[in-house]
Amino acid sequence: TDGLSDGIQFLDLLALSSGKAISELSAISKTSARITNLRYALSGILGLPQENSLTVLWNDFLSNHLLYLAQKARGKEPTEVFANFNQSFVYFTKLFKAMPEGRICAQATKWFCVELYSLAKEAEQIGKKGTYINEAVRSVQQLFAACQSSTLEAPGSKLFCAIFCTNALFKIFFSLDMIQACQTPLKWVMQNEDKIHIEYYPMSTQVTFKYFSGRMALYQMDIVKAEEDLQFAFQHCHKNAHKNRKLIIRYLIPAKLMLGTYPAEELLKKFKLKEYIGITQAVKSGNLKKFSEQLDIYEESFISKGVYLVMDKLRTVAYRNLFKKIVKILSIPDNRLKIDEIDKVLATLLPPPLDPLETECILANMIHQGLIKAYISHEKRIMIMSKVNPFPKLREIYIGTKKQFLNIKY
Amino acid sequence: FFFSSRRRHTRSASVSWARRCVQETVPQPSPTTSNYANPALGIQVKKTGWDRPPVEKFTSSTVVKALNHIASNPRVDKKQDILEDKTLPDNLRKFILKGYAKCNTEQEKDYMKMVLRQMVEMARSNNQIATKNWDETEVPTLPREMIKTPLSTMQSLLKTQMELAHKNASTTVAAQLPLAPPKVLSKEEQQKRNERKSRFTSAPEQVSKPVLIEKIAEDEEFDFGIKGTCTKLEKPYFRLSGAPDAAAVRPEEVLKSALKMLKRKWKKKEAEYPYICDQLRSIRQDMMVQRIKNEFAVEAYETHARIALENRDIAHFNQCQTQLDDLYNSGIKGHNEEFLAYRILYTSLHNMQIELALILKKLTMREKQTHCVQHSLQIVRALSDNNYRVLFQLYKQAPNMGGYLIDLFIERLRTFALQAISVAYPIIDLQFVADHLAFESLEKCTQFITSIGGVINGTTKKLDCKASIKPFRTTSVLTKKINQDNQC
Repeated sequence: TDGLSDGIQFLDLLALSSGKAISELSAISKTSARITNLRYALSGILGLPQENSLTVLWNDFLSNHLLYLAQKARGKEPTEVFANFNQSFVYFTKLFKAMPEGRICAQATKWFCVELYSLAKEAEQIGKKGTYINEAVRSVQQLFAACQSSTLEAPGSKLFCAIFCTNALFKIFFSLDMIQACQTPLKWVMQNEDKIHIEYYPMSTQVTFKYFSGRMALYQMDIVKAEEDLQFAFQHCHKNAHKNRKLIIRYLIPAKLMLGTYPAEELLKKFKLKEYIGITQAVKSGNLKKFSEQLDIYEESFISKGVYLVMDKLRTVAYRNLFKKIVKILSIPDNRLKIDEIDKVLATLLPPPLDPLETECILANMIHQGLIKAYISHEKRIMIMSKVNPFPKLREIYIGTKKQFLNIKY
Repeated sequence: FFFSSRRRHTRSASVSWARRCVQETVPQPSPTTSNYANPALGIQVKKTGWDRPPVEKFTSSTVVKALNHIASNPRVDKKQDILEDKTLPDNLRKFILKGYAKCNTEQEKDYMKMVLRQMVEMARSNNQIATKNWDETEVPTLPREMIKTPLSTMQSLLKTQMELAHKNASTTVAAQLPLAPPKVLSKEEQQKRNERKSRFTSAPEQVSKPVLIEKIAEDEEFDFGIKGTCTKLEKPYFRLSGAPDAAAVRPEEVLKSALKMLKRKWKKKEAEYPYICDQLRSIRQDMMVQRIKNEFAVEAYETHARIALENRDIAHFNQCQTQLDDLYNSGIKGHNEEFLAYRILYTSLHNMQIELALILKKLTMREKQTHCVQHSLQIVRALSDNNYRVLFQLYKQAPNMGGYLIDLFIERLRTFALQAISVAYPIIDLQFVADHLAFESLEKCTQFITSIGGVINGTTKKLDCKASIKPFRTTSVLTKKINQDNQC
């Protein structure tokens, strides 16, 4: 009998019944179906012939893992529990490497990665900061390397398990503020996208992955991609996962604002995101004074969440909305707008003294980025706008031309 | 309500997904094919991303550095197998083969080889090869036998569970347990084991890990904390390839006077930049070797950073900047705010958004109120909007040496401004451009514009914007690397 498939089933069972298995192992009932399965699986594994190199690995893994389960059941210190789990994880990695290509235990890999992070977090709260989570990083990176070395297409190959590792790595790096370190796994996944079909994964994994890749895109000012990813994550996030939904929408809103979609006040109140309420109104109406005030008031909050630089870019959107309003109110017949009129408005909104040349500079940049279709005559100080749609929709500008939004590359 | 949430995930979906993964029929690879990474697919290639500053060129000096590193750390597995040595006696051969027989995997075999080789070498050095009783010597223990899993408790745990669950199966399962019974060791054997264990402080799994050739940062080479005795004020820079000689390293007092001398020479313009840079590097090296990390170290790094910046040597500036960041974080006082402002400028000019966001996070209220930090934050804002009017005004008012830092990028910044101007205005005065973009004179402005391909009407002194749009977008100034300027 081949104990290997039993072993894989055992690992998957372990993943599916992890919480209960712990309690059941310590208080065993005769009729428990899971325990009979466990026993059967163990007898299969342990019945492997002696010469098999996998036997050694299975022995190591099982003895350590059962120790971990027993310790957790007895309620030992999180630091000890984590140390044992980490060891178990290391043995699991070896087992994973040794298994032939066609058979992988994806569910177990997922469970291992998720558990490792949560245990590391628990241990961090009690023990010395930094040690546990660094060990976790090392372990996950080893497993990730093992996944990467596969050549077959997913599912059914080790490549399939790579996403679980990347998710764990993202969580760890973001919690350590080492966001640059997330680039390497993300780039690797992007390169191998055609082999890793993200649709095959369970929704929770997909949502986690999209959330982190959306956040990375937001950091790098790739607004279109950020909006796409975060929207997916938000739509498919479980409706009862309140904390996660709030996290996602907190980063989705800046992306949406940049693309001209303004969230309703009820939505912001529902998710208790009061920092966005005032600034949304300011951007929508083009009220530059209010925009600066709101940005100053909530500066710390934005900086701590890492969205400050994106919110700063909304100033250009505010300007655009203001100019659009001016043009509408003045209702000029021949599309020639005197820049002096704009100066008058800006004098009320911006702190004195006003620099008229700066107004021209702002207009020139907006024309350059396609926010206004016009040209400026410097001597006469007028802006001649196009007759058709001089203020195109923000979404059309970015998604249509696939430009990097308001981001000049140096 | 523009967000709608749909519940997609159900329990049955997750279980069926798991089953799908396990039961997927995939053609199994033949035993001969291995899981080696296909170079076309999985190997990670270390590239510098667009948001990181360009890496130092791979010059001959870096190749020499790498070769020295390899030469000083030879890999063990390049040696021959012990068995190939014909001079070994028979009982030693038998002993070696016994050791090999115990191994199950390739890794264990590698480990066994290493241990046996060391035993043979030791015996050879003590002239014991022929005399030692190899038949009775214990074969070295493998890592899996050394791991302190309490096997006895494991056994009993499994046994009790099996017994409780099912009467019949317990005997068969227990009989099949391949767990080795724990050995009862005599005191002598235990001592020997401990001695052997202590010889290998690192876990054996690390033996088969690939050795990465690391790019050794200049200032992190060798860290010995020795006391120097040299008294020479001037000393050129040499790359260290081994342990430094105490007679060649200068102590702190000498370094202080050396720095004073260099500062004086630089102020009076008695020396050229390559010489000064070389001397400063050797001062930094002597400090690193002696682990001097105090206010004097900060002063030395700050001096080199400023002088490097003045001479457009961004590579050394960046090195000093990173070291200074570490020193400031460990609490040593220096011109923290000034260099913080430089860091903010550096990251925003290089478009390193993530690092910039992290710097902002760590900014304190007190730092934000200093003039230089405020100035650099204003520049960050002007850069993100490409507000060239404000940007060049700030450039003219830059405090300390921020102006030199912006100078490194000034051509690119001017090109971006010209792109905007050429699109927005159909025709524009050159004087307008010269004023806005902080040119020293109209002639310099004209020179620059023509060098990047702009079309100028000489008589009316105006820029023909329409014709200049394309050259401004495609000029090589936009992609030229900054680091290659004037390295020492």
